[in-house]
Amino acid sequence: MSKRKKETKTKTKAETKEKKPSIKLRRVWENNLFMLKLIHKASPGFLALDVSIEMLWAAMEFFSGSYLLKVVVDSLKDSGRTGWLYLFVAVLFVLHLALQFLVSWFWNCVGWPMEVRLTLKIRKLLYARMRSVELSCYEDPAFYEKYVKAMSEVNNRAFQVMWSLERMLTQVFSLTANVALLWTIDPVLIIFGLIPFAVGFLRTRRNKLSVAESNDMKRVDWHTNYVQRCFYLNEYAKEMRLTHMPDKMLDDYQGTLDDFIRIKKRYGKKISVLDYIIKMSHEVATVLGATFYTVYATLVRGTITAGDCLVVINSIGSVSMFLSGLVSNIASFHEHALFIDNLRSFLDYQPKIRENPEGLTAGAGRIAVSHLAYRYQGAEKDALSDVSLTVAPGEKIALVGQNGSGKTTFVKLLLHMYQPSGGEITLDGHPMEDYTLSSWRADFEPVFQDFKLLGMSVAENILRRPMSGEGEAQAQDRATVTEALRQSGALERVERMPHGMDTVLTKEFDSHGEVLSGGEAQKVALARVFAGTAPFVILDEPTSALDPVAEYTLFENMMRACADRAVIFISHRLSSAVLADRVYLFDGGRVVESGSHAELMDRNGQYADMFRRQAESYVERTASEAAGGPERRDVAYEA
Amino acid sequence: MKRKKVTTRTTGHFSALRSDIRILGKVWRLQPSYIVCLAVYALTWAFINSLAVYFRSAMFNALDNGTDFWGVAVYILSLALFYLLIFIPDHLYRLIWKPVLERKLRFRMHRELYCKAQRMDLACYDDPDFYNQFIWAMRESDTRAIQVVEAIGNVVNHLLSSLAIIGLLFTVNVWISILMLAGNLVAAFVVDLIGNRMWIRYDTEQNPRFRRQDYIDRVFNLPDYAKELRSGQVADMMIRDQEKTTGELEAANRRTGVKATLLYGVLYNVAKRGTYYGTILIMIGDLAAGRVLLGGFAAAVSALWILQSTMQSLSDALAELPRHALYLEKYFAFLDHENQLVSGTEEVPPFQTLTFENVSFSYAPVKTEKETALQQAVVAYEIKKGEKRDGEEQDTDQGTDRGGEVLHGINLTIRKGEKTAIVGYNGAGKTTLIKLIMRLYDPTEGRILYNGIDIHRFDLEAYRARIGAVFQDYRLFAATVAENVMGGRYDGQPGTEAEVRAALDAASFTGRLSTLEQGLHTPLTREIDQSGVNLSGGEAQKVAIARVFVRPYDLIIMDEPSSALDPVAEYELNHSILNAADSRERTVIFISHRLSTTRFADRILLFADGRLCEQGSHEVLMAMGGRYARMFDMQAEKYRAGEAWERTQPAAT
Repeated sequence: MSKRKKETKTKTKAETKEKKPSIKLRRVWENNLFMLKLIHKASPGFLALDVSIEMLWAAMEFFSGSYLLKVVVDSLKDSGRTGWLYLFVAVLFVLHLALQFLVSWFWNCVGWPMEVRLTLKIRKLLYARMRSVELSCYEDPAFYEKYVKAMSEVNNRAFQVMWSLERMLTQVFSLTANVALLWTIDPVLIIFGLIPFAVGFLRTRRNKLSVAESNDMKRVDWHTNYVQRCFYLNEYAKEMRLTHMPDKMLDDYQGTLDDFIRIKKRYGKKISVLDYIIKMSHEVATVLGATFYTVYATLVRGTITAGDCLVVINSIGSVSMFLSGLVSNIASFHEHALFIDNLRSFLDYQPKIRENPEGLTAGAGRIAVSHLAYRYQGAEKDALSDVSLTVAPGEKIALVGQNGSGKTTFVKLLLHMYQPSGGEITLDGHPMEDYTLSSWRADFEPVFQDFKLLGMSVAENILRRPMSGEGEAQAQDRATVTEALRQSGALERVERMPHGMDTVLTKEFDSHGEVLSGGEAQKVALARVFAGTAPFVILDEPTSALDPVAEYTLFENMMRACADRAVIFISHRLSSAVLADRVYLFDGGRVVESGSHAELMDRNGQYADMFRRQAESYVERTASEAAGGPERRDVAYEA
Repeated sequence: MKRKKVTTRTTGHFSALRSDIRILGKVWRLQPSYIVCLAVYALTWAFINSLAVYFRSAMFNALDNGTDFWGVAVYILSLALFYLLIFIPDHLYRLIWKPVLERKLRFRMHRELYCKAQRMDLACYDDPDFYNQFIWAMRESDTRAIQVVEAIGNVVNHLLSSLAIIGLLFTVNVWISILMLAGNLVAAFVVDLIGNRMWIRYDTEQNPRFRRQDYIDRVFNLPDYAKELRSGQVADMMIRDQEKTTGELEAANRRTGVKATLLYGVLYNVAKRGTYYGTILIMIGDLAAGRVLLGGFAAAVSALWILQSTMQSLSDALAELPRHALYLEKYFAFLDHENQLVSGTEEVPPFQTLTFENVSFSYAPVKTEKETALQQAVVAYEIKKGEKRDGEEQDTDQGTDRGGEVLHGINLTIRKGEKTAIVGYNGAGKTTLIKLIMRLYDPTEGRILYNGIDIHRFDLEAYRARIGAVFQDYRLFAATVAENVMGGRYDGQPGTEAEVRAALDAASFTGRLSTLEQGLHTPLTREIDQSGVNLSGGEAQKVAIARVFVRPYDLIIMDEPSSALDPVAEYELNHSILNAADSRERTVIFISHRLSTTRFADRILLFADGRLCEQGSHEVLMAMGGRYARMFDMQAEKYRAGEAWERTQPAAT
């Protein structure tokens, strides 16, 4: 049973493989060995035990199959001694039962729990590497794809390598045994077994054609899927009702059907010819050919007995089947190697930002950024260049500028999530690299525009560490969280939850988890700032989902709570920049203007221009109240 | 792993087999050749399978009887010839005809669904339950239909094969045929029955753990979480959780492993081996006594192999049917769904006025009771099976907060040539108002009058064609610029081309257009065409806006048309839109929550909590000192503070 299931699983795998990037034979060997070693380390002895059991199983299959038939027919024809024969069959029956029980037990009670352990081991290797790579790795599509592929197959690839190995060994065994059996009957029969091997090159051509076909089909499928999405996605629904697009889409769809039929016919003809030849070489040339020969040898030449004839027909099919199985099995090692290559090159990757265990411990202080530059991988232009600024303890710094001007990139560099391509960041005169990475990052309390709440309790989401276990410490934690929630305006909502601050957020873990709306989630995320004590607070447009009233209150609270902490905030709305000690205007990755709001307005540059544009409609009213409107403002300015 | 795939036999769902019959009927109507081919194929294979056994037995009997060489060889040669001939149509069918027929069937099913979908009430999209059902019908019903038809074909094929072979064995030895029937029934059907229950239990119990594992994988996987993972102790907490989950899973696997060993290692094992060795023992007796010739033995041995696989396939195929049926009911429920919005018949005159008379609106669930019950059955079934995806669950939950009334007692009139602004916070009902005007929904209470006539009485398509709208969440299609502007086919006539160019110009897209190599024929988005152009948010918005200028719409509606733009671009675009509209004496309604952009309007409507609270020009509303004035002040305060600074500054220096 178990056997059969395993077989089908890997077969579908082999069928779905599409293109095979080339990989060196040595590497194939090394990669597969790597995985086997991993299994061995996760559970010593398991591999050896598995292979031995499988070999026993292969032997059993042989003896209970072709060999048993030979014994039955021969002994009946020769002597007619049935008593001994009954005994032999009965013993084989008991052995077979016992062995299958052993196999089933081994897989269900040993292998299956073991698989889970092994998965954890590989997962932890991957996690450890992923959390240590710099953020730019996520943005490198090639690297990221490698990781996602490695991750997606974490669950079964290791075992598949093992199955391929055991299958190969058993195939070799069965093949040898069947060939030996045929040899003793008549060596000529071996030739028939080799026929499928001879047409192996056709199989390669057929696979190439299938790959080419599915490549051609991809375009058709894309188009079909696109048409479908337009019809079912909510986001297209209004336009699909208000325009004539549906007619065009249906025309396009009809076109894809014609394309499909054209492609299918083009490849289908060649593929079916090849398939037909392959199939016939097995069914007719090998099996019926060998049968024909055997019957000839029995009746005309008299060199083979009738019993052997039965055996031949049974085992010639096996030989041909095992042979082609072996060929595709070898290909599967190749396929494993490709996946493992992803995994290994991912694990071998050396992060550019590494923990400096002997480093200084970062604390409060004065941050100085000088001539900082950063270029995204593969980009032609620096995303950030020649940025210099300082943040003193307790200062409120505003970073403003249009989308894509480099503000968020700057924040990520400050948190040492990217490695700067030029310039440096220092804290109290020591460069960032001199500090331990963990203490450096702990120095900042960031809330990002695209913050995420995790599937943990509200309190843990805010503290970002497990809640203290008991007594005093826990009471302290609870008080901190409560106060932080009050400040951020989320307390009322959290108290309404079934378990208060211990309620698990998101439905990922717990189908009873709370799902917060955008604004509520933002308030909870902002509570982190109130609960934390890090000397630097970074707010990257944290109030975008709040309405102006809530935004206003929260902003006031934030400034009050952070009176003695440095706050760096990014905002689109220039109105909030008025409160900052210093404003830095980013444009095209550079700081183009800096100074207090007043100074910048004074300079009458880009900032002043932006501010006025945003303020125009609002201020007009003030002005019109005082009569004169816009002119009055200009006059005031020129004076 | 060592587990059988879960093929579920849902007890109590046999009434659902109706859907299987119905889908068969539907496929027959859409693509009769598909069913004919499938039936012929199933019958042919049942025939081939039994023929192979028969030939083998006949050949060995001849061998045993001492027939001469050619007497035996004729069996082999005719079987070879038969194979050579029958596999030609077999290959053509499997590799060409069947995929093509399937594709055609899918196409026809889709076309039917699409036409239905396009006429479907927009309200259906707002009911997450219904929407899930709809998406499901769109994405999967064709595959399910094909699977059902195939499963029925397989049942016929395997049933006939099994019967033919057992019948053949009957002539050899009655006991063997009984033994094989019983043994395979136990091995395939009984074991599946118990096994499926066991795996379902396992999946149901372990599903939360699998989900947790996936979730933690995602946290480490997705760029969205990357920043969070690097601050605080989040990563360690997640790893600890993963270890705990794995431990629990391992223990569960051990427990279930014991049961699996009893089932497969003992019951299945004994049934399967018992059949095999039992057959051989009986045959030894028969052969020794001379009751059976070698042919009978050979037939029994090949029947052993073939029966085992056909019976298993039969069990699998039978198990599939009720499972598909339940899902297909969703498909039919969607096809049977009646629209609530019914088109009128009257022609639509040019626009004069639009009046809301005491209009209220609430998003009501669109599903009938029967559909809800069905959905619940499916959910219960999926949870039981452990197949429920977390995403879907979240979708359904969003439905709960949609109950309340969104608009209450709205009265207002919009006249030709007016520029009206609608302002208010998120959720105040602004966008809903627009959808009511477009008749994408019908009001729950009250009436909407167009030139004094209830809009129900107009032909729906003609009515909508009077109004040009750009939505906040506008979409461009993977088509050329011109097709996008025309909203469908573009005929390329000089007249049409001029119109398209003029519209793009009014939306200030001309500058960008001149940089596109293929001009109006440039394909947009890369969804289909790799060489397509991806426009930036602001540019795309301009193309969307051009749609309302390309046709002589009487009434233009813009729902936050400038949301993707930065303040400077927003300012420019608003001016250009208003100018373009002005020069054509069009009526414009636009929505924004930035009050600074709406003050140019002739009239401002302030919505709060679904009510029309204040209306009038900017000056009137400011003078009134109500909600609008407060909102405006709040948004303006900081700016004014800044300006105040500025004003005092020069004096100070």
